[in-house]
Amino acid sequence: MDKKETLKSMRSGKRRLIQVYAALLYNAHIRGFIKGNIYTGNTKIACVPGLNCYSCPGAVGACPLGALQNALASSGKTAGFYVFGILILYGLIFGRTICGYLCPFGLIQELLYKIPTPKIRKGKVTRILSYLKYVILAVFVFGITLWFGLYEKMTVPGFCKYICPAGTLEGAVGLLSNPANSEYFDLLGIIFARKLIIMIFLIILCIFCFRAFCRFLCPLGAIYSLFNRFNIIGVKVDTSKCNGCNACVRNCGMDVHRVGDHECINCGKCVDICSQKAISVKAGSITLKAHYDGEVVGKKRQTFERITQFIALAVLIFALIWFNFLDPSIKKENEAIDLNQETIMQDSSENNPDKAEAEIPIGYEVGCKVKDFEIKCMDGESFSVAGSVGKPVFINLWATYCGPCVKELPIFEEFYNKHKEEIALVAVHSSLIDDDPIEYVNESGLNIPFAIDSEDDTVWNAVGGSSTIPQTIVLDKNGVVIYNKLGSINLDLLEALYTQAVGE
Amino acid sequence: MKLMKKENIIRFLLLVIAVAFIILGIFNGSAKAVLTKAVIICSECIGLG
Repeated sequence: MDKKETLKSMRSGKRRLIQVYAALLYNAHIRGFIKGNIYTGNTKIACVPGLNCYSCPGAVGACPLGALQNALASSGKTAGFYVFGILILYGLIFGRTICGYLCPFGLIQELLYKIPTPKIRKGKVTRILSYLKYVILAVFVFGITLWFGLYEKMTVPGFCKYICPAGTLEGAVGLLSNPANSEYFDLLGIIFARKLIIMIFLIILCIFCFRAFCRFLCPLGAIYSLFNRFNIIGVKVDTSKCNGCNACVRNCGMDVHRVGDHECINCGKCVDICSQKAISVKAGSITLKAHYDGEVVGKKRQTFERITQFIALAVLIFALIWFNFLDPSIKKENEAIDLNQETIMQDSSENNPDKAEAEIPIGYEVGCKVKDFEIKCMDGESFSVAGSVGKPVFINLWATYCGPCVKELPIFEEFYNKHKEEIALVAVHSSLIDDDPIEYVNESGLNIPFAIDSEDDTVWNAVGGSSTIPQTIVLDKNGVVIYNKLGSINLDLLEALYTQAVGE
Repeated sequence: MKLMKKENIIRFLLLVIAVAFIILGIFNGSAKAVLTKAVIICSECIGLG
């Protein structure tokens, strides 16, 4: 390869570097992959620009599409101004430049396409299929979510729940692949099976068809495409230089009619293809990338690029250190683990007069005794583990914004009404509140004991509450854990657990 | 030239709307809702069901 070709290929390598950089920055919580848990810190209030599931163990920001669906689900109570504002801002600044440079799932698709196989060329069929993403946006993001949110009063993010391959790959598979999350396999059913098939199908399709998900299915790309005419950073065409040869369109992998239209991901590949030097990548009036014809980059430009690269590297290193060692949520997590271990050690010390009791460790796993806690219920009564000794105890962890949690509450009510005198039961809402749980409970008319966890997550920590809900914990008459699992529960299982708890 | 001016007006309006929505969202709790739902996750919402 001669020097000119080498320098040219380095220019296209820069886009790949930016894509990898974005993917690393969005997922800087590396310890999440090692520990098998998700990041729970405050930076998740910020939506990253690209498609990156917030259930990915590494994710340090929220997914804009997931956040949009959650906002739509709550639109009966609160207008989701924040998410709409973020999407408009990203669209205005970047448009589909986000797809071309800042989307980890876009990167994955491009890497898959590099596998040497026969390729499906674009044509009339793919051009028609490119409008399917707008249908997906209307039906799954808006339609299903708004229907369930407004009429069924349940949070059902339609695209996340039924389709999103990024969520399946980064979130579900990301969590399942860690041995610490083996209990998650009990949750898997038809929803996961369908999503897994969709993910596998799309991965195979992307090997043969350039960015198949981006082009045909991605609702986030559909949203950003609405701004592609107004975006500040992106590909611009100097129409006075353009001779209409359409080399740019022919060589583009996307289903564009012209450079910069709603299908254009602003990757800038056409910049060097245009023989008229009519195309450039601009940020407002500043040219970021122009046609390369062998000229040496000026010193001022070189210095500017070096400073930018240095700052970017410093930001990434800081992010990796912060999100893995210094973030307050990491310290909180470590403190909870230390406290739990300390409690186990204290209780198994020889000072404990009841040696048989001392042999049962304190903890939240099956066979352990849950650390005592007391919590005030919404009806004014107090609930404590110590106060419930002699009765089986059922603890359900839930939240108003969790569809399956809300769906199973009537099951708990039916169970509670049947065994009211013989059991202790409490449904504990997460300390992180969106819709008012008290208002929800009053409107629902359910008559089981409800409580809201304290700000320092007393109940969540005592029972090993996960970031994923619903979760049900069952203790026998002696306060020993006989069941502690994630996922929905049914009446038959509750009855079986009752029988087991009473029989102990 | 006229078209560019029209596009710039639209850009400016979009910017004002975006910033206004973000500020409104911080005050009406929809910003905090993003954090809440990204930290405590419904299992079925991520396909675990």
